Amino acid sequence: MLLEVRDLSIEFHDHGIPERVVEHVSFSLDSGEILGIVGESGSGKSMTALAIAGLLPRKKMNKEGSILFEGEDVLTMERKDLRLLQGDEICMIFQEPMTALNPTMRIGRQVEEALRVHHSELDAAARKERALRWLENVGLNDSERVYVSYPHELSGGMRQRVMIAAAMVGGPKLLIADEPTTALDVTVQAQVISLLKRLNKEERVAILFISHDLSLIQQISTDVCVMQKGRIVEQGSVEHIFERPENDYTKRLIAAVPRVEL
Amino acid sequence: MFRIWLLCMLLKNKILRKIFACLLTLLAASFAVFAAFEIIPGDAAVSRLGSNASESAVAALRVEMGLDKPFLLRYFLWLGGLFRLDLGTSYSYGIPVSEMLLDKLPITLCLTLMSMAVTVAVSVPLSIFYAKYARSRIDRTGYVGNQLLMAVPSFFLGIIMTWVFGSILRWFTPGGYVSYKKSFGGFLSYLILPSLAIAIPKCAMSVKLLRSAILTEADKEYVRTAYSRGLSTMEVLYRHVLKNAMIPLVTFWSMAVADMVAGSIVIEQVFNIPGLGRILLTSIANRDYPVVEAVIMLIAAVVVIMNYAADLICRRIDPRIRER
Amino acid sequence: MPQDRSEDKGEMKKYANFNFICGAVICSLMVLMALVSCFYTPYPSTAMDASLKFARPGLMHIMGCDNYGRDIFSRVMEGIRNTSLIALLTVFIGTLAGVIVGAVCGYFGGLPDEILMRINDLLFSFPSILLALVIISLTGTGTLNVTLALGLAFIPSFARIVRSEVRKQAALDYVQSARILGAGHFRVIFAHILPNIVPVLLSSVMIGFNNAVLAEAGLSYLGIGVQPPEASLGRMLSEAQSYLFTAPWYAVFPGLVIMLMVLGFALLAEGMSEGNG
Repeated sequence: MLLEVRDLSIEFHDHGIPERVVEHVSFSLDSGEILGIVGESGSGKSMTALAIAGLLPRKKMNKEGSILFEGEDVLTMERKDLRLLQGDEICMIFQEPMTALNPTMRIGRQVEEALRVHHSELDAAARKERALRWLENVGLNDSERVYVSYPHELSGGMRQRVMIAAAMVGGPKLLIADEPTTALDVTVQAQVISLLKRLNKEERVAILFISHDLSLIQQISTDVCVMQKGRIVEQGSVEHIFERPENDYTKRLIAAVPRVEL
Repeated sequence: MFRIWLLCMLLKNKILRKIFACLLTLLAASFAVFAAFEIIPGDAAVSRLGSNASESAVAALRVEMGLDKPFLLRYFLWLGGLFRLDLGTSYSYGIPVSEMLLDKLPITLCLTLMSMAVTVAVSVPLSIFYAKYARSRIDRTGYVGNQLLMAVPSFFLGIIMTWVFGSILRWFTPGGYVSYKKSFGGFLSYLILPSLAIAIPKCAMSVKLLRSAILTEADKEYVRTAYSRGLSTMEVLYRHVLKNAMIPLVTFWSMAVADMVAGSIVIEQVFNIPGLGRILLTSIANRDYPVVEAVIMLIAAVVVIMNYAADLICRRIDPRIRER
Repeated sequence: MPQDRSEDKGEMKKYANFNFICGAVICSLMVLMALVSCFYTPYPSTAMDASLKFARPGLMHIMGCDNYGRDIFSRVMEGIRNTSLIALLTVFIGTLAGVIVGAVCGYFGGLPDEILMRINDLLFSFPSILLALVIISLTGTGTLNVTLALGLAFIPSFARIVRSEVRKQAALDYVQSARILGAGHFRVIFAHILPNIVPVLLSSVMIGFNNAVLAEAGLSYLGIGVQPPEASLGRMLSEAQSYLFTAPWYAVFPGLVIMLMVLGFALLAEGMSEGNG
């Protein structure tokens, strides 16, 4: 088992009154698999993703349960051990590729950054070669030009491809995609989905795909968790959930998926 | 025709266009300065000779000073002089203004450069330190100190320094200014306290600005991305955050340079330094307009050049500005 | 720099409040001193007494006496009054003219706006104390001239702020709807837009007041401005400098008061802007 989340609860302590945003969440993900998490905004799905990526603040927050990545608990790990995983084994892409990229840094440097941190044995030329290869691999044919561009010079879809390249460059085992297509046009959405599917097949990277859109999950993953108000209300294979939804909330979500009538 | 074409080509280049705009601004400023000193009541020749001078003497002096020529002609003569660094002759001393200024310029220049160096060298590490401990007790204490230092007038700071270091600790001799011609080392060491007096309030403002800029940037999403790549807090700060946070500070510093030149007028008085400020004040008191005009034009040039430099640096840092 | 992305708003508010209260206390103290000095000071501010020359701070004279044996506390009170009066008038002139220029430029835009703002930008980056010095060199010294000069020198900064705020507001829908309902341009500017920029203006007025206090103190330190025997904080400092080693308190108290004044208004402005945002 690559990733095993056991009984995860997250509690904020920001405003005096503790606020439970994730409650008793458990799921697991095998290497090379794709798991979808679906739920509306505020359902705790992004918090869960950030917790797995080790990006939640350490203070002002109470975390219970465990997140086992290859048997090691990400939650209780020392920060410096966690950093060895981040960007190398566990990578993340975000909803808004414009703000998720540093506006004043060239694309090339941002794509190479994970290599710079984790593969100090590579020299500048080797890093660049890898970055260019990955930019091409995610479908940016004009890789030399993209390499020296700044984020604002690219389109939204290109930026998300850059984000994916920057995440994949270190050869991660787990890619967490937090609503990666929400900010994109529908046609670009489909391209990004098929790109992720291809990467999953070719690179054997496990993907945790988070979305509010059940139809996207249906396209990409085999298994799905449905989250509502911090809890997993239903969990199973996509076919199973589409055919025999048990929970009311899941039923409503399915009803909201636009059907293509033939 | 060719010239116009050339000009158009040149204006297509953004940097050249900017330089052209700077020159235009300076030209406008020079006209404004010259015109302003033209409309003031009182005749320069009369004020130089005294009100009971004979009419013929005044007329003769007017011709000598070139005051009988029409306004625009005089403006262009003066402007032409500016380009040749011929700034006219001082009314009260009868020596070329450029000579007077050239003598004093190194003093004010050194003072400003030293203050700026202190400001940059102290404020950047200090703001990083405070930002690192944001909202902790260190940060709070620093905040209080910062607010206090921002409120101190630099000349009061200078006076306090004179008292503490001159009277209590006896580390330096108040008023013991050493000319840079005599001993450059002694000159620089005398300038340490004055430059600190100018720099400390500016430093406090820089720290406040940079600290909040760092915190604002730290909340942005690209920082989370950087963390997700396994960077340590310090790496995120130095590789990503700092560069973005410097943008507002660069603009502030460019204005601070002009402010420091102005502040040196007062500080020179506190520490008894015979610099540009001293000349400006005596010239204002003596109505020695060629000198006043020259000093103002000099500072206007500093302002314009600093604005331009800040703009250039911001463009270097932030590619998004270049597009505009 | 915490990895913490959630800003602690409650705590921020608390400190904004703390700033505001501190600022308000200091400012009201200053205003009180200025007001009281109009009809009462412990000693007449110009009464000299040779026997009290350089009297140390004590129960009778809490801030001591100066080189003429005048009570420093009384003179500081009067100095606060003079300084704040000049600063107030300065800010008034600056705000009034700045609001008019900025609002009209920002609302109508176009070439006049472009030209005026170019000039404004140059003046804005020109240090205000120098600008005031230039104007004074034209008009001559004296309280009134200094006030006018400083007021003029402060116009650019206000015009700049008001213009950018007005531009922001003018793009909003309510302005359009007011226009459609038949409101004239000037009605839109002064009755619709201006009330909305008051909060921004208010904190910049506070900061402007601070700059005015500092500039006035600087000018009167240079001997331009309030003329003796009228007390002025800046001039007291320059007089005190000659006796710094015999009577340091003469310099310390007026300086501290300037500092306190600036601090008070800075805290007030900070508390206000943070409390709003």
